Amino acid sequence: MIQVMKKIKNIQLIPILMILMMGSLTSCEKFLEEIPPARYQISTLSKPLLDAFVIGAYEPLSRSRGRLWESTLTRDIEGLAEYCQLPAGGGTNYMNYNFEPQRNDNAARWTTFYEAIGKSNLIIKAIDDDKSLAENIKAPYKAEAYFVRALCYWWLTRMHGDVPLRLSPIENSDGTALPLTSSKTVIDQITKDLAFCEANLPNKVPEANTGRATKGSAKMMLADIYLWNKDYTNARLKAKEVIDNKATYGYDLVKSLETLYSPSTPTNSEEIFAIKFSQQKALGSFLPTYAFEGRALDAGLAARGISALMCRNAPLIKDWDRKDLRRNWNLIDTITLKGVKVRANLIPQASFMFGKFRDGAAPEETAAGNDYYLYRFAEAYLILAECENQLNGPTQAAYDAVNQVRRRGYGVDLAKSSTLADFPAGLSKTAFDDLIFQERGYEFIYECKRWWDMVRTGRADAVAKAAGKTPTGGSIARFTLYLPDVELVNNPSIK
Amino acid sequence: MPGVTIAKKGTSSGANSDVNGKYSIDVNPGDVLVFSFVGYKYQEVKIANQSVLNIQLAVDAKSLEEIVVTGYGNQKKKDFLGSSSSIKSATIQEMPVVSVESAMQGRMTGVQVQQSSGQPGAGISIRVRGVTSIAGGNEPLFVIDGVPQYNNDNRAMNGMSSFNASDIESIEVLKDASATAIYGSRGANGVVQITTKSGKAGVSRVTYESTYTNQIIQRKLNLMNGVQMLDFIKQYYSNSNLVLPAEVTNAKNSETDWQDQVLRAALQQNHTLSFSGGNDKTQYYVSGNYLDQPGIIKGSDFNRGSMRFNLTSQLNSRISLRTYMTVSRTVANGFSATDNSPTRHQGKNGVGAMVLASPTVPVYNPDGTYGNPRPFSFSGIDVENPLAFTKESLDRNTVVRFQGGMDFNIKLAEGLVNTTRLGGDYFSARADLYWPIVLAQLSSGVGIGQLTTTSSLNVVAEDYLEYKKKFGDLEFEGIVGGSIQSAQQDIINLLGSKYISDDLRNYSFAAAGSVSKPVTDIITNRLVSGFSRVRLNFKDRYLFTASIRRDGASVFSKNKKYGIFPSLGLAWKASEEPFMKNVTAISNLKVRATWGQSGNPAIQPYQSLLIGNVINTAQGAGSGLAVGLSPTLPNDNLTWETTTQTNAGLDFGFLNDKYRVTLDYYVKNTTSLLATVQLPPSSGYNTIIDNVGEVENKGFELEIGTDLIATKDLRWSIDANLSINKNKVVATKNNLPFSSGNSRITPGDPLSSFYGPKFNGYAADGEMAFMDVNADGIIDGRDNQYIGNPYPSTIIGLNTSLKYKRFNFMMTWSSVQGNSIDNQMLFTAAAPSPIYNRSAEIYTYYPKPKASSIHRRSDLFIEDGSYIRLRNIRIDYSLPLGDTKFIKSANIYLSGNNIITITNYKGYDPEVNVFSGNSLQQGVDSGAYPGSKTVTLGLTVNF
Repeated sequence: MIQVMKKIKNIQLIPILMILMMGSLTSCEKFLEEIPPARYQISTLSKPLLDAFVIGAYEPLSRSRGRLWESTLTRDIEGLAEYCQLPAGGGTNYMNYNFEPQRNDNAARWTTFYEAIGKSNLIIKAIDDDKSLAENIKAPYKAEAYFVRALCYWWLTRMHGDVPLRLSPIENSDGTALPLTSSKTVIDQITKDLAFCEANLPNKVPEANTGRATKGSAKMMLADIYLWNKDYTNARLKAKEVIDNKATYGYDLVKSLETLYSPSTPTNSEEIFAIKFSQQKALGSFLPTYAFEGRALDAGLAARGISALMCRNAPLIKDWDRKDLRRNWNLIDTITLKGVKVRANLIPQASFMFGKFRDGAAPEETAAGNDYYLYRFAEAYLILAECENQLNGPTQAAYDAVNQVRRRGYGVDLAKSSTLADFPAGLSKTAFDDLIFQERGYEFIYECKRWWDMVRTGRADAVAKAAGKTPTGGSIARFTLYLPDVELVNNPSIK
Repeated sequence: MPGVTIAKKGTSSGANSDVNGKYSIDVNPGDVLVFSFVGYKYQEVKIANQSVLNIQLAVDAKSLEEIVVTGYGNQKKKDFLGSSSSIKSATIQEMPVVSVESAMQGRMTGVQVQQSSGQPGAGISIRVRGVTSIAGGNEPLFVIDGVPQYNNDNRAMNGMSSFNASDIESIEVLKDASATAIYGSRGANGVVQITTKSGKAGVSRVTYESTYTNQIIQRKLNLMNGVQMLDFIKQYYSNSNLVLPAEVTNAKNSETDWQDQVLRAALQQNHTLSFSGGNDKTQYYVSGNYLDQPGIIKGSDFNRGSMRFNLTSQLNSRISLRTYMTVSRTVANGFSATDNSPTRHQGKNGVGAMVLASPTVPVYNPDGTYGNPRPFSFSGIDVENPLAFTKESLDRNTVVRFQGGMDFNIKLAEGLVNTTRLGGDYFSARADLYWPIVLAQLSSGVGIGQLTTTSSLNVVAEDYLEYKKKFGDLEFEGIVGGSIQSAQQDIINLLGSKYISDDLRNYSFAAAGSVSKPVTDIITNRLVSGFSRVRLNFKDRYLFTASIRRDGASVFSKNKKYGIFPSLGLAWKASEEPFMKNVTAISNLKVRATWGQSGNPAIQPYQSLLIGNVINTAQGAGSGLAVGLSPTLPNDNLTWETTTQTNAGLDFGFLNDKYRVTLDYYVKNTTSLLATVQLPPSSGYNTIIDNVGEVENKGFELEIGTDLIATKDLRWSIDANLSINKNKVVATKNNLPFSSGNSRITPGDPLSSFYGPKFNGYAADGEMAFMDVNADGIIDGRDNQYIGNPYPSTIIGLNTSLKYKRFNFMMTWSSVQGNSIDNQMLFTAAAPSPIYNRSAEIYTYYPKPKASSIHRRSDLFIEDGSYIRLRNIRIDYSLPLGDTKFIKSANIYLSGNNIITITNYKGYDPEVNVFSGNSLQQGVDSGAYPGSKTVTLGLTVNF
């Protein structure tokens, strides 16, 4: 080599040498190829891959600090119920139904909902584009993706009214602007999608898949949507289908409230669709921590208590029959410390803490294991009763349906009539409807249904004022929340 | 003069002059003695028959023989036609710095050095000639002894803090494209070349340096005391028409000043012992360093132990070898810095707790337990008792680092040298976090432990051939070479909670009642390059340089992995022209111009791939855990950011370089800007990395140096530097603005600008009013306007040094103008809400605070961050040691740092950027550890 070098006296050879060296060193394709050791690279679709993606679509719904039902969505929507008391500060605006100052509270939950929608869209498109897997394998997964998407839009449109309706995934950062779609169109779309779900979801899921969508959950969401639209005929139809098929779907009322709201049992027969939580850090919910006061850990109620929302002595609460077991379970004003019962520290103007979700064994505040029901079997009965009454007046069918829930609530035999528990006979249609409204309030306290009932039945303003709330401007002027700045600023199609 | 080297030419024997300038050496008539000392012209004297030889050395004008450390070879400053700034070891040692970068502050034009916060060992960000990128990062490439590094910002802990500043011979910052293009894909943000010390032939030296530094807080924040806070709460309830809760009327007030409780004066010490020396063939430099820096917040500190071994050896007439190695261990105890995520936002961080904790609460209860930080039922839930926080929590980063390499030079033929370079950087970092049971707000009363271990190995192998030849009046110098670099990082993260007791802290995860699934990751990153450069020097008057580099980086998408980065430069040494030789007043006049392109690939790997991220969710019975996949949104067009820089410069020297002026004007244009673009959430994704846009930085740099007086007993010199930079976003995709991090990128405005509503006076009801830009009656995100940006327009530094006999006095002032700071700490403390303690100035924002007041992040909370600071003032005394043989020289000094700060900023310290250099959120002060001012006593002894 050195001999060769000595012979090079000509400068012209130097550039050639330079180019040679540069060339040989820079064509190393394999060396520069990225193969991430700890992440999956996605190529072709297979059943296990599809299954994993579908689980990935559910994940945002229960994500810790995704700010959905595990924490602030529940707090804020339940906060709009007439009986809910929120602490001073931001809570005051929700108490006064003044939504504008809190607009950016919506940012995190809005983003989480749309993330789940985005993942569902990806799955739907991947399934439509795929030519290799059989239709019967793909259909249930597509139905699950439709279900997750429908669930997200159902909540988004009730919370915000007109929202961007994205039905296909984005390819890159171009074309992300999307105008608002009317609430009616959004609801029409999800009703159509849920028909596919009804047809293609399984009757039951295996234990390992508890928490994933079933035929029953599609029917219940449809019933819920029809009820919102006052389409009592169809709502009644769907509710009846769920009740009639209870053996096939494996549904039944759970006798004990402690079992129903247990933080540790994996599932029960009343669960139709729930957001699943586990007693592990960042896999659980905040709800017991929100509900209880500072001594919650010592009282065995939660890993920590921060008094984020409590219960006022609204008419619904004041008039609650003390023999109703649900009252004692749900309304707590004393705690037991070292075996001694003491008065709980309540926030000003609150009379009770919400006792529904308790988890003294939670390892920390993000890890309460109580599942959050979006639909459970009791609601099928209540929807049937309400719709039957609206269509045909308080018939025997209506009474029978609601009395199942009543009897379970009072802890008596479901099969026998009970003077204690049953609705009084001979009610008028209006009186029956009022009692159903009240019954739903008792059954679903802290389950984010009261505000929707208030709005869809037109009772919101009256009920809020009767409970002593003072809506800004005298009456509740607006029933939907505002869009967060992160959407307005980055989506130029929203005017 | 002490310390002058007297060597017998051609031999390895030599001597040094002592304190009084006396020396003795054995010589024979005919021997030639060489006298040399840094900063003076060396002299050779042939010995005749004298027994005494007195020599007077002449001062060597500073810049003439200065060397510029360019990439792949050095160049004399007088022949260098690019733009660079440098500091040498003497300057580095003027300040008692903990980390290398601090020594650069205020001393280099075009270089902004900024501490992220006052935390011991905190991250330091460096900006060279403005910012050009968002997602690509803006930190320069650090090259240590020829080996390019990754600047590892480990949660704002500084990657360079492993190095002992005393080991550094020089720091050279290459700023223009002709200098940085040789580093091709990574040179767009400038290159910081660090050269460590070597031994000198014939000079055997043992040096001991020691400093003791006392640090105190610069100034406290103006927070409410107990009486003021209770009064505020009462006003709040009254203004909101709410009944004042009894707990407020009956509240006890312990008047605790949490800042006083948590802050302290802290004494830092730094000791270095170094050995250097050698002969003609082999030179060595060995040093050991111990640094202990307690922070001004109790319980926080930074300490370091490090050793260095540098060896240079001429193996035979053709082959020489240089090896350098450093081993260090650093341990930093922090105060739970915030990252603005829900788990580590302002409440759950130590400084946030200190600011927001209620002053009515006692530090300790009568029974000895810690005071409950939530005095009221409506008190916020996240703030912990600050003193308890300092004593009981654990937030420790331990880094063991090994960095070293070897250069192997072979002289193949006359003028032809091949250099092979191998370098490696290995570190193992461990981050321990424990929030104990006793801190109920932080740990939910159950104890939370976290452990993250990161190990990283970065290896580089380079080889280049250098050919130098003189063809008559033309000097030719060419290099051609190649380089491969590969890095891998392994991360393991464990999270546990529900401990039996706090005794074991987080050290045993088996003791945790609940452990989350461990998270592991492996990240790889590779670079392959070929490069070449030619330098021509005609008659020592006309200079030309051209270089080209081709890089391939693994982080880019399949078909866009390669980039080519050329550069060109021309210079004319007018002072060497015959007609200029008669103008004796002008000693140096050089005109230079360069053009070139460099790249920026500093994005996270795997962005161009369609990846399914593994997620866990609580579905299913049994373990209640399901594993799923969440797909990413890949960008399969992802490629380099390219910065094209044109630089024109002028170097003047008057009166034998007694007065020196350097002027530079530059235009930097960055295309294919890498940004993490905020998407509207309805798209289904939060962000995507994309090449989107063009940024321009235009600027002007002026450096003036004078040696006003230079006599034997008295020397006085002044150096000043001025850097002006104007930053503008020229274009974006479809010329539409987009959001990224906490800022907005809009064509026509500076990069990373802050946007928000503009305050428009007070309305009739006492509430703040804001400008309603779209006149729709609502103030929302669509009414946001430009309200500031975090980058300064002007940076000024002024240094003066006065030497009289044994005394040396110096001062460094620096000033930063034109930047804004997003003062999120003040925003939180000025919220009209009774849940925490408030800033005492809240009534200037909310004269009548009430529940319905809407607290908007407006221009009121984006503060002017300009400041003027006396960075360093020092007086140094050279001890008169008499005629001792043992000690060659000794000096002691007293200095003060950050003694005077003039600013309008309301936070702790206007020099703040809490999320460090590469984050998307710039210019934020959110629970930043307060800065300190210090007084140092130092001693240096040479044996």
